[in-house]
Amino acid sequence: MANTHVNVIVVGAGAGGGVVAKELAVQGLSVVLFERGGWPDYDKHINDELISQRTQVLGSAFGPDHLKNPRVNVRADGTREVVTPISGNYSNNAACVGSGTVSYGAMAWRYMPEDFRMKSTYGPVEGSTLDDWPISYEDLEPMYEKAEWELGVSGDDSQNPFAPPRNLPQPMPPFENNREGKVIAAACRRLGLHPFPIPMLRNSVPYNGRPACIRNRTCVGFACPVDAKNGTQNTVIPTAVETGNCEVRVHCQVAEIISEPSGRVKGVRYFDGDGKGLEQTADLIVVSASATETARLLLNSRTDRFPNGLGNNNDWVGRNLQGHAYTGAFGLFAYEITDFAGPGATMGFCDYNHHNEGIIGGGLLCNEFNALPYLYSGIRPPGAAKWGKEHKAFQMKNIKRTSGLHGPIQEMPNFQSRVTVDPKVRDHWGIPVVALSGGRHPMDHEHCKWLSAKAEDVLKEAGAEVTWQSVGGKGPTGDQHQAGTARMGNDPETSVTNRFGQVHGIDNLFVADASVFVTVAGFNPALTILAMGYWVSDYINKTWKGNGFKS
Amino acid sequence: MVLDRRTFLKTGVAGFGSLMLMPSCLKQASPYRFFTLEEAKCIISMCEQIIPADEHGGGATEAGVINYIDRQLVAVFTYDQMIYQQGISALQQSCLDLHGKRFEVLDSGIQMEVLEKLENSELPEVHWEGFDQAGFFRRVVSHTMQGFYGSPRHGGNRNYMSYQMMGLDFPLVVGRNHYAHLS
Repeated sequence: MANTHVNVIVVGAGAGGGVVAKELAVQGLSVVLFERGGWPDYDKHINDELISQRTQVLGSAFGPDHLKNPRVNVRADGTREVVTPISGNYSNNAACVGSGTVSYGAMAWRYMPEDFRMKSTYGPVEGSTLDDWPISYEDLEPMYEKAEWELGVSGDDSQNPFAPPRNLPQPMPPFENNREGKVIAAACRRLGLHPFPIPMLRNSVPYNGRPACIRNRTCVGFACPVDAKNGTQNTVIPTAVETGNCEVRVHCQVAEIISEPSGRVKGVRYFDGDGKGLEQTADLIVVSASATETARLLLNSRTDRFPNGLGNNNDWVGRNLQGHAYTGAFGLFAYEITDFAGPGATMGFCDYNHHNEGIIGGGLLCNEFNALPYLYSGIRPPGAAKWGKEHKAFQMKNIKRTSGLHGPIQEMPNFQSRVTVDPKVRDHWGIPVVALSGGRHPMDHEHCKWLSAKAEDVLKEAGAEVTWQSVGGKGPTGDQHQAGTARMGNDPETSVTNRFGQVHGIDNLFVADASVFVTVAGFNPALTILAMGYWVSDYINKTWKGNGFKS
Repeated sequence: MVLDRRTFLKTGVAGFGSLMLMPSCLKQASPYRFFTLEEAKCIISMCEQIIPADEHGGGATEAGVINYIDRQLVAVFTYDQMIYQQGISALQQSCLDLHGKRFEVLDSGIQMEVLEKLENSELPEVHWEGFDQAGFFRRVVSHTMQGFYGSPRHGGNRNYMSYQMMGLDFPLVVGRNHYAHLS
C-alpha cells in the first residue's frame, strides 16, 4: 500500500530536524520525520567506553552500523581509502533519534554577534571563503531563547562579560564547578581572564518532568541513565508525536529526493528497515541529515534542471566543509585534581573568542570532559613511554592528576574541503556514499598554536607541575561539529540556500542543520543548530499556506 | 602393553569414538576462537610486555587481554586477521634468526629489546617484506590498551582490575558513582 501523502518530510531526526518536525506539527502540518537509526537504547551501551561516541573502536552505540555505512576518505595525495565509523577519518554523527543530542557533552553556546559577520569584522582571508552570514545574531536571538527554554539549559550568562545580549536568562541555574573547575577558574581570575560556568543542555534542577543531573561519570559519549541530558529525542520530538501530526519513521534510509518536471520536489525514495524500497510524497521537504549526509542526499538527487544534484548548479553543495580543530594543553598536578564526577567540563571562558591581536576569530577554552581509561592511555606528555611498565605506572599515578584545558578553534572555511559522492563505493542499500576530501586552511593550525599556548599558561598558573600542549588544526576537518556544506547566502551564485534555508531555485526544499552555516565559530554548535531549526520553521510557518507560499 | 601408533589409533577410536577419528585431533586443540595455541603464546607475551604486572597489580595476561583480542578478531576486527597471522609469523622468524628461540621463551629483557626494534621497524627486513612492522606493533598496543582499560564485557579487564588500580569506582552504579563490590 502506498504511503499517504503528507505536508512535510523531514530527513534526519537530530538537532535541526527534531525541532522542525515539532514546530511544523504543532502548527497542524502533517509530518513524516525520517531517521536512519532507531530510538536510542540506553541498556545497549551502559558504561562501555569502547562503543561510546568518543571511542568507537568496537562500533557505535548510537549508529550507524559500521558494516553497512562505508565512506571514502580521499587523502592529500589523491589516493582513496574506504573508511567506517570504527576506522577513523569518518566524520561520524550518531544515527539515532536525537542523533548527537543523545550522546553529546551538551554545551549550550550562543554564537557571538561577530561570529555571524566574520568578513565584516576581520576582512577577507586569502585562500578562504570566509564570509558574513545572511542573518545576524539579532535574527537568531529569539530562536536561541526558544531552544534554551523548550529543551532546557542550565547556565548564567551574566557571569560572562563577553556573552551576547539576551532577553531572558537561561531557564535553570548553572552547575557548580567540580574540583578541577575551581582550581582552573581561580587561576584564570589571577591572570585577568573571565571564567564562568559552562551553559549546558542538561538539568541542574528537575525540568520538563525529568530529573536533575546525577554527575554520571560516563556522560559525554553516552546516553544519560536518568534522562537529565536534553536532546531532541526527549523534548521536541515527543512533543511533535503527541500532536498526532508527526510520525517518526525509524530505520529508514532516504536514498534520493524526487522532483516534478517543474523543478519542485515532490517526495523521497527510501529503504525501510527490511530493505524494501518505498516512496513518500509531501508538499515540502526539509533536509537535516548533518553536513555530510545532507550534502550527500542533495548530490545524489539529480534532475534535468539540476544535473549535478539539487541546488548544485553553481558547485557549492558539499563545499566549505568545516568542523572544529580542538586544541589546548594538559597539566599534571601533585594531587588528584579530577574527581571524575560527570561530565567533567564545568567552566570555560570567552576571552579568546574575538578581538585578539592578529587572530581571526579564536576559540573558547574549557576544562575537559572526563577522559576515560582507554582514551587516557593515549594522553601522555611528549617523550613519555607509549607502552610498557612506565606507561602503565603513568596511567595509575596520573589519571586523576591530569587536567586538560581545550577548546574549538574557529576554522577558516575553504572551497577544497568538501563532501562529494564516491563514483564507485556504495552502501548497504546501493546508494553512493560520502567521499571526504581536502583539509583545513593553514591558518587554523597557527590559531591552534596560539590558543594552546594560552591554555598552557593557565595550567601553569593553576600549579601544574608538568604541562604540555596538544595542538590541533592540521589535516581533514568535519567530524562531529561538521558544518558548511549547503551555505546560506543572499547570492545564489555563491550559496546553496537563501537566508531561510530555502534552496535557491526550489521553493519547497529546505535545509535545516549545520550545513547552512557560513562559519562554525569557536563554540560547540548544538544550540545554534537547534536555533536554526526554529529559524527555518518560523519562516515556513509564516509563509506556507495550503500547498504553496504566500508571496 | 606397548602400543604402536596403529594400535593406539584403533584403541583410541574404540575408546573415545569419533573424538579421535581426525588426525588433526592428535595436535592439541586451541581453546581460542582465532589464534592457534602457538600464536596465542606469542601475543600473550607481547601484551604482557605492553602492560606488565607490577606493584600496582596484574598485567595484560591476568586481565585476559588475549581473550579480548581473540574475540574481536572474529567479531569486529576481522580485517586484522591477516595482519596478526603474518605479524606473528614474521616476529617468530625474526626471533629465531636473532636469538635462536621463539618470542615467548625469550628472557623478558630480550623480549623488550625485540619489541623496541619492532616499534621502530628495525627487525630484519628479510622477514618483513611488504609488511609494516611498526604498524603491526601499534595495532597490538592499541588492542592491548582496549583489552586492559575497556569494559570487561568484551573479554578483557577481568573484574575491572585496571579500574581498581586507577582507583576508579566499578562497576558504575547509576545514581551513586559508588562501588558495587563484585564478590
